[in-house]
Amino acid sequence: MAFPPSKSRRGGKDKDPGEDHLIPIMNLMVILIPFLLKAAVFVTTVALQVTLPASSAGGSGDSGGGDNRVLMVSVNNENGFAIINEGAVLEYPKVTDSNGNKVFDFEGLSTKLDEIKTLYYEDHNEIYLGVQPDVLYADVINTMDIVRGETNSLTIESEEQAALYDSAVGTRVNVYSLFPNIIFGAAIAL
Amino acid sequence: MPGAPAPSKIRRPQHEEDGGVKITSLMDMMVIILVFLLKTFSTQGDLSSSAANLVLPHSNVKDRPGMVDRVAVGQDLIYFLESEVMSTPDAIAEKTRNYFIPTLLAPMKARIAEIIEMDARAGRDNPDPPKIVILAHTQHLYSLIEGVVATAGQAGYQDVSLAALQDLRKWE
Repeated sequence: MAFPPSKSRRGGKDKDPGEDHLIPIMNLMVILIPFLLKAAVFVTTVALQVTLPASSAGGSGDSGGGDNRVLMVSVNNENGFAIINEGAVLEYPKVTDSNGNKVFDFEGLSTKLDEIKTLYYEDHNEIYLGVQPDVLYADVINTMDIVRGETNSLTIESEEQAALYDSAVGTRVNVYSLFPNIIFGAAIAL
Repeated sequence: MPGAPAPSKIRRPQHEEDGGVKITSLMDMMVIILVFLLKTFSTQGDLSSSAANLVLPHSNVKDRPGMVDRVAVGQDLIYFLESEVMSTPDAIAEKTRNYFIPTLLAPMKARIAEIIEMDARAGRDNPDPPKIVILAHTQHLYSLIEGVVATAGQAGYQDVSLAALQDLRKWE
């Protein structure tokens, strides 16, 4: 009596039996992927915290440590930036970009604020931002970015750090290099 | 037989004869897509989706707004807590007459009263201050945003944030 050829000798004619088990997993994936695509967020929304002036909502305005010096950046659509510090005014007029448009001098403001922070306001976190009503909201956000400085993430490792950043040990906080506490105030016409 | 076509000597690939498809490579691709989508998965959704015609400015900050009350100042309409409150031109007109926007102030005050009542019912002695995030169109003038911020402050929101889209390479 002749025996039929063994399955292993039939070569690659049949499907690999392992692949049959993948089909239910594939089905699951096909269901999961549209669901995850719908719930995916490709842009992240962030929040820039502002402090209201004391007159309107009881904003802090506290300089800390009894130091009442006030640093202010005035944003004017025609004249550009002005840094007002103890009566002294440093003006940064608008500059012309590569397209010939007049734009705010963000680079000049950033460099000067960095210098001021290092020399005079090392322990200060607060700054007043006075914005003229006709300034574009996008320029206000850009100015806030510059005034806060660079962001770095830091993990709170000690009780002293926890007290300094008002967070629990082990949590991650975002630390800004310049003035993170922005208080909105009225712009000063120069 | 002369003229008759010679039988083809080219052999067809084995899998075509079987009629099956190799799905291992497809599985590999699916796994990569799945991992990528799981990384971008969010249960909170996109904050800016509520208001039509709203393009947020870009910022390099990293702070996330969390689950707080929100007011969206779109090009045409203003929404508070997903409900349409008034048109943007009306808000600009009200802001010109007053420092606050009275039509927006009323629902905000009602919401603050609701928050206070909820905290009292829950027995919270030191509740967190009411928080709000303002989503405003990038091309609005600061005058309108100032009005919305002042209105939120007047209503009783003590923690006010401005929303933006994260762009960490903005200043590079």
